[in-house]
Amino acid sequence: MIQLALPSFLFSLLLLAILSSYILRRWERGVSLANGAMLSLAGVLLWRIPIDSPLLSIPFIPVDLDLRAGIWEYGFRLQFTQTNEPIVVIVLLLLGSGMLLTAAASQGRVFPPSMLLVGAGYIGIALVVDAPISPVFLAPASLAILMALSVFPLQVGIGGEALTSLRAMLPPILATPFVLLAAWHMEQLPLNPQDILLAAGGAQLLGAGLLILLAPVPLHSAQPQLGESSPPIAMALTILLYQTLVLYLYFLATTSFPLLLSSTALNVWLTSTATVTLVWGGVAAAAASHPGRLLGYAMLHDWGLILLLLAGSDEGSLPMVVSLFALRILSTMSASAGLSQIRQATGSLDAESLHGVGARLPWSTAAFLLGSLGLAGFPLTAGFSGHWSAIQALAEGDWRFAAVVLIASGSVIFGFVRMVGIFFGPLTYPQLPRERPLGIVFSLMAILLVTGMAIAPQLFEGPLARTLLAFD
Amino acid sequence: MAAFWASVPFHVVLGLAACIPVVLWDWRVALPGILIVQLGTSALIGAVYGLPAPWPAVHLGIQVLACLILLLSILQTSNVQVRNSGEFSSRLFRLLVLGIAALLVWAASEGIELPLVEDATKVLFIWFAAVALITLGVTESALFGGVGLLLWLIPVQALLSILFPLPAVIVLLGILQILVALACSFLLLAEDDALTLTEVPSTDPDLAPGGYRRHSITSGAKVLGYGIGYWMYTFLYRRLKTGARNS
Repeated sequence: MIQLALPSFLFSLLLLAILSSYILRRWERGVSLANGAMLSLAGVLLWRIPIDSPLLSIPFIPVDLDLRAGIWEYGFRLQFTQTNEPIVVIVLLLLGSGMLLTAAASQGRVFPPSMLLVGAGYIGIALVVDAPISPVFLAPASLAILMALSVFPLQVGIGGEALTSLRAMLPPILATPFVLLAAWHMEQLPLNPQDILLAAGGAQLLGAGLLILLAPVPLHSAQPQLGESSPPIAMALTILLYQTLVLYLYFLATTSFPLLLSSTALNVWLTSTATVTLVWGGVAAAAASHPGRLLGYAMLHDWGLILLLLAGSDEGSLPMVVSLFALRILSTMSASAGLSQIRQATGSLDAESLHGVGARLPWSTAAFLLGSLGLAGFPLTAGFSGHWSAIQALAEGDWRFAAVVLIASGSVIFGFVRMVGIFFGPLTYPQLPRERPLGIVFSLMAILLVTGMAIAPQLFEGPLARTLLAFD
Repeated sequence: MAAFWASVPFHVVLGLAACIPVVLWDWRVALPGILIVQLGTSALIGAVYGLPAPWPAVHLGIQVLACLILLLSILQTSNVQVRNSGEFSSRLFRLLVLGIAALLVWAASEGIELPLVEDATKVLFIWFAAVALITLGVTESALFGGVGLLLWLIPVQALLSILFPLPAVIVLLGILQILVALACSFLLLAEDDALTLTEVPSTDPDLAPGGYRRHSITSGAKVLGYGIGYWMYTFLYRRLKTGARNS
């Protein structure tokens, strides 16, 4: 029996998935289904099995799995801990669902291996618990590396507009020097404990780096533009994986360095930029006629709300941030599942080719609309409960913020009402094919998940409580 | 010798070298410009700030590799627009922006603290960062996006190597530089409509489904080889000719 540490096992699993999806790329559908199921299963099992359980035997493989063991290479220690558990599980589930959706709507044959490679990198960042410099400070450079790699899955299968993918790389590349300069200041603190300027300077630099990493307006441009120019699943996975890690990094930084919140203007900056972000997301969504761009703006609006709650940074806002982000993942994946089916059937997401598409692709259209409306907190969608609690919490502090959120959400909904008019208008292309069975299955699953979370949001309480426990 | 690298005129020359690619906006100037800036910065941090021997050379080697990666894609692309243009500004406008940026850097650098570096080097690094941001701001092509990012990473790599002379940090930033060059070189091929519509770029077998492959890695390498060979040939030929004329 071989005894394997969990990080080694996860990387072996991902390497297997990457190699199989590249070598067998001609059989993309089957391989994506198998890899998607494998990764989703790994995510669910990791969530269900307690982290302190004894050695686990894997059926049919002579391997004993040690969940608590770590690996130590080149000064980096990678270990599965209670803190990084939710992040690793989220990344695995996102990759798994992304691969499953790819089986129904191809994003380009090179998409699965390149996306899996990027996902493996995100798991690597989450697992790092020790490094030559504190992992919090090295993470932006690693994120920049992964965003540079993400250019490949984002641009696969499309030519022309290439600058959008480049813009997605900018925030982590720009943030890297700020955060590493902060690391130097923090490392000098034990040598000069009385130097208040050193501590304040470090905290300010770290705050500036985190603000750039969170990419509110004016660093937001990649989000809506990727929605328009990239394959929907690639866009959704790239943005969600990045934001998952950035939020994790934010929590780690604010927990490890309390000075960050007490002696800097980070919250003030975050509040103002987040408000502009959510308002701009709403205003621009009302005018968008491209469904991908509309989804991008709806995501931007939702991200602005999350950042606004993050700026609250008190005990009460953390559960809301986590719950809103989880609902964001559900809504975005549902919307991208539907949109990828529509893109596959019509060959383009230009408004003129989408007239009447709802009559031919009802399930995909419903998945897209329900998922996207969830990002604006529309009633009977997954995002409603999260948005409603957020608005209530904001209204308790200052009613004007709640009013701004409501108006911006209304603006996003108006954009989708226009889109409904296009989708269910007269059919432009009568030869448009009907939905394929696998596409219908995935769209139905997405609709069930989204409406299920809307009807019974208490289903989410267990995972939320455990995630909060991990961050405490 | 260290006094020469630490001198203000040397810093001024490096600063001017950094802004020449932005003014002329031509890849034939931009790539050598980046290499000159990197060479000067490596010499500066090696001689003045005492960075251990292999690391300045490693920085330079990585930058040479990054420029070669970009060059490979430039030579493969057929789009003259992609090669020579891709900005929404005139030369005069860029000069004006550079002038304003120079004034701002001069005024603002007093209030910016960069630990462990001299004032002249601090101003130089902030100037590099400003030029990189201007390049990123006015570009509409992946090529100059890549040039801007590589220019941004030169002072970042140099400063962080002084602060943390650790292999982990230097290697991580080196990997980032190479991947940025790879990503931009891929985007350079992707934004060339002629290439993506009719041919398949060598870096992605699936960029244009149903297309045929004309440019492969080997053909790209051949083009690169021919290019370097031709340059060497003309260089040597002229030298020989001048030598013969002199004798």
